[in-house]
Amino acid sequence: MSREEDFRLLVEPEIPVLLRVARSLAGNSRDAEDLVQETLINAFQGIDNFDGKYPRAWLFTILRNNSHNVWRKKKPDYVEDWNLTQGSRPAFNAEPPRTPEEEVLSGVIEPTLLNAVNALPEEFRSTLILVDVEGFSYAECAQILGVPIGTIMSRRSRAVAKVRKSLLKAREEAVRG
Amino acid sequence: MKISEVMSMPECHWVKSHLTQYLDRDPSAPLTDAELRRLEVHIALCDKCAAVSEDYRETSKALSQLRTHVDQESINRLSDSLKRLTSGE
Repeated sequence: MSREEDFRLLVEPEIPVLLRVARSLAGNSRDAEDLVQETLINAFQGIDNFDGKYPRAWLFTILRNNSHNVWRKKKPDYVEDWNLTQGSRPAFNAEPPRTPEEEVLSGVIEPTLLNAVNALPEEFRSTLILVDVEGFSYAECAQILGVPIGTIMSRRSRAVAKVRKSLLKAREEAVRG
Repeated sequence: MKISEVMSMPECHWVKSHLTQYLDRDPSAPLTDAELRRLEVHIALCDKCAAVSEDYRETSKALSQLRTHVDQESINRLSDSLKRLTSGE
């Protein structure tokens, strides 16, 4: 089997997870695809530097570097992606609201949640999205972002606290009418 | 503020700083048995920390509901691109 074929077989199964990570870092699906595309090209060009172990970790490193270099000036916008996918998305664990009050709160909470996530500093936002939205473990998140697990825990704890505060405020305002 | 509330403030602070770790039960950051007991006892006795714990749980659940599937067309386009890249096209 050729070197090119080996590379393809190694990398192709990782495309879905790369897209999930890229979406967390870039903030929307369109930019995520471009980011993964660049990652695949850079990985192929740098294949001689790869020792054959842990392809996912190697690809995460390239993805992260690309994200820092290319996308750092762009502010991720999850609201934009939400608007594009709303209505067609099969939400994970989502249950339809059951009462009128829940419907009102649901309409208030989702935009508030997205705004609260968008307002977070970049390092908090990416940690929160990777762990809470995309479901990566602390260890995977640490590997993706290239920081210690303790940093992930601290960032996430502060991010959840900030988002919670925004949700509580929105809920109080909705109840007051 | 009651004296008992002031007395429990340092404990509340400790509990809040370990709450996400407690709720996640992530294998890469486990709490010790003693820490777990300390958290559970405090949450059972402190209404404020119990409420914060419930809010964290709800916030985390709400965030997980933002998850969408990765677009299959996007995967297909990248797979095709990878094939072209490795075949020298």
